[in-house]
Amino acid sequence: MANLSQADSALPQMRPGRFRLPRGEAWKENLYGYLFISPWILGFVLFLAGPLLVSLGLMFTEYAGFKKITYVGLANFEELIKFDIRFIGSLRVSAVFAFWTVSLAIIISLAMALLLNQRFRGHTFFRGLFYLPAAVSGVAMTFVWAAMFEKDYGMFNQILRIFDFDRVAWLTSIEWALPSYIIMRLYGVGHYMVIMLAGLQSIPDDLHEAAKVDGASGLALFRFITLPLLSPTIFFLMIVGMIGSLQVFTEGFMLTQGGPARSTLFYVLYLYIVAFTERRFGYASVLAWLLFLIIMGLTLLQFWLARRWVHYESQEA
Amino acid sequence: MVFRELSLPVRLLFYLFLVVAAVSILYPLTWMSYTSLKTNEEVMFSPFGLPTRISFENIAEAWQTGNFARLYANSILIAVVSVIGIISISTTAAYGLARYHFAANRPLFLYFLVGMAVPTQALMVPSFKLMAILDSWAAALHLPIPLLNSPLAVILTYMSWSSLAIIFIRAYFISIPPELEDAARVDGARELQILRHVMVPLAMPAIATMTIFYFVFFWNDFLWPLIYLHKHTLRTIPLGIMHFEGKYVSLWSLQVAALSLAAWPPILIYILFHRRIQRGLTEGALKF
Repeated sequence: MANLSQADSALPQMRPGRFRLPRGEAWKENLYGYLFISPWILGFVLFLAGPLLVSLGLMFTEYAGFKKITYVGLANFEELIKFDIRFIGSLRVSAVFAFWTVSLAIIISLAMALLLNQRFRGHTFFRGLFYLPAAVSGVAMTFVWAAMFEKDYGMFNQILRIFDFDRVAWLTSIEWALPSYIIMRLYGVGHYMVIMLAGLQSIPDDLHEAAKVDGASGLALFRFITLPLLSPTIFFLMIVGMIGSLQVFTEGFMLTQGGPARSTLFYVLYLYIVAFTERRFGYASVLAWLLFLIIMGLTLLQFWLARRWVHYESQEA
Repeated sequence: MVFRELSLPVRLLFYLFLVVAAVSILYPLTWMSYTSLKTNEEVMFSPFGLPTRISFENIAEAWQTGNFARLYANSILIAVVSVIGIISISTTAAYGLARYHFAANRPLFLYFLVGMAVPTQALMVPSFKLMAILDSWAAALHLPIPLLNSPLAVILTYMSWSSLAIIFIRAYFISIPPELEDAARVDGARELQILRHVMVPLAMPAIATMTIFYFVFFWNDFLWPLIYLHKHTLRTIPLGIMHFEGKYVSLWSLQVAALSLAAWPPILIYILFHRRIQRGLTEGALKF
């Protein structure tokens, strides 16, 4: 549970219920409505929308957080496009990370969910167990993983030694540092699996039964019934997973600080370094807004693509 | 495919896979737990072996030197106050949005849905700045509400992330038939009383799910305390752990003991509430 936008809720389809005060008391309805939502609006405007607007203005300034604030026009944007190698690098690191974590997580969780969807003794126990790592992710688990990845005594190298492979410098080598983070992230795959399993269980049994009567093979069942009916769930996981993994920060900040040779400089980590280490708030605001736009853009793109491959049952009626 | 129809070797293979998966998931957690119960000598001689005798000396020492009593108090304060705040705000707002037809209802709802997509990290800089400005205003007016280096800054920021809870609880309110409220209204109940005594008890499953979700999230969050809290007396558990691990690099057993102290509360919460957490996740995803 790394981030709120990773959280799993979404648009409810229902409209607000009809309000039942007598006619002619419409003003009362308005009043109550606004009264009930006012604390939320206040907090939202002050601490979310407000800061967002402030950072919109900060994009055109140079500002170190003290009294002096200088208007620099489009200089920040120019720097971003023309000169910033770290920005390009961090974008690449985050994109590679997001691509691999999301696609691997979806494949693995689909396989696990297909297995756990069978009725066998102890399936609720295994389901609960597989979700456990997702619930405890955080700073402490990150350090446990660092111990697992340790070069001399760590679990991974111990296993490699049993099979006579060479030791791998997991978090300290350029080739292996980013894959190490991907492995670390995949430890939380149970979160995907629970949702995938729910999607599987919402597929009515009679569809499979009918296809079986018609002589469909196991593979055909999966390809033409399970997969299409599961596509909304997969789509949901893709969006949530992508948003979440583009925002990865904590692990990188604690273990490698972007190194070695910037191979793990995640985008948000770079954003943090620009803002709070280099104290360039104006430039950091440009990076922040770009992240916002990238996430919005990718989400919209996926919604658009989804019309081609996501199958919603209600569309058939 | 029915499990019982499969042949015995296939079934055994199936269980073997599950057990391997279960062991690799449990290994890091159990390793952490039992290592923190080992004595220093044992850790030296066999860093990954099981303890021969359970000892709480490292746990006790980590608790002392890491000042865990303080860390726990800070984390509990921030998480509990933020959760109470966010749940009360969201429940009232969700009720307003679910039941009253005022002009701005629909546009506001859509607008704040977009708000959920804002990556909160994008707000680090302006939020930090905003707290500094509000703090100086409060100081100028002689108000006793410090916002720099204060848990209040973290709490206020967390409390503004209510979009998810509002959407979740609103959907639940809408699914409750309005006749119950009408009955209460006929009996002379006021709007707030209806919310408190009729709707909140009915929507308890949704509210409970959100409470647990936000609590674990705030408990584990690292970025916002890092940005706002710069005094060591204010550190939350994630911050404390980070500094602790940096300070006692060579004391392996002590480090691991500190990790156990930090990781076990969310694990216990999960074990206690895992049915509700999983059901909540599932409901949310299927409405998509």
